[in-house]
Amino acid sequence: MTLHSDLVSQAKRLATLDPKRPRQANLRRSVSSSYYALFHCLVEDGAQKASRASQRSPLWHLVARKFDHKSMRDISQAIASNKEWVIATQLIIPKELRDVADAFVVLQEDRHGADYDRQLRFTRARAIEAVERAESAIAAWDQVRKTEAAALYLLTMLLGPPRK
Amino acid sequence: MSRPTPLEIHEVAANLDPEFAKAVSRWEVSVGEDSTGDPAIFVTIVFRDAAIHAAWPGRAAFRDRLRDLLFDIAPGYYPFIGFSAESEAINPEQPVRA
Repeated sequence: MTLHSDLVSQAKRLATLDPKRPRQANLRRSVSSSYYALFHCLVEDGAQKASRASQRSPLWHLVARKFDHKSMRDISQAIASNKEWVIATQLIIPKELRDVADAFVVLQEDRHGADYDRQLRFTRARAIEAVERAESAIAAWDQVRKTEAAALYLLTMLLGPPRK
Repeated sequence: MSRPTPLEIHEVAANLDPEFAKAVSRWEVSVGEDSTGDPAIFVTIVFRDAAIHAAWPGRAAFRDRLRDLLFDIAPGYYPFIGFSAESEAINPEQPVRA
């Protein structure tokens, strides 16, 4: 089992606890785990692609630590909304990759709400939506992870978008 | 559309697919900033409890259509589209047995 698939399982379990009255703490941790499932899925592939090393290598871990949430979100927003620099690369961005990128942005926002905003009230449906979103994004990623567009997505997370 | 208003976004969302809209109890729409300070549109689609199980499988297709429409009509504002239920405990994957 990978870390990201364990996180999906954890998010599902937390979202379906307490059948009659779900506890906010469980729903919030579920939403947070859904985001981290997708985050770690992308970091695992990104670190492997950039370091060309396995997870046993210190180099892999050095590169993995270079992925930061804000840069990943900025690049995801650009890919999902087809920003000018993305179009200028002339790469075909598959719909699946746009879906992954959009899921990343939305799940990260949900994660911020779940972890920091005490005014929000989460429902079970909302937590299940987040875990299904993460799960389908991971499945979509599996379909496109070997494409050039996916390499662009991961490498620009580390290197930043091209200069104008 | 320069700065979209919640009313405009509500109208766009509610009229996108009249059949899908029948399952919706309310559309929660706001325009502002996301947690990083970037311009954002927030749409939470709250399903009626009685309709949620039928509507749930179609939500991703609806979300994708609405997202792409909002990218076009409100560039610069990132759309955050989510789904919820009227009841706190309802599980859209497990219909309640009568």
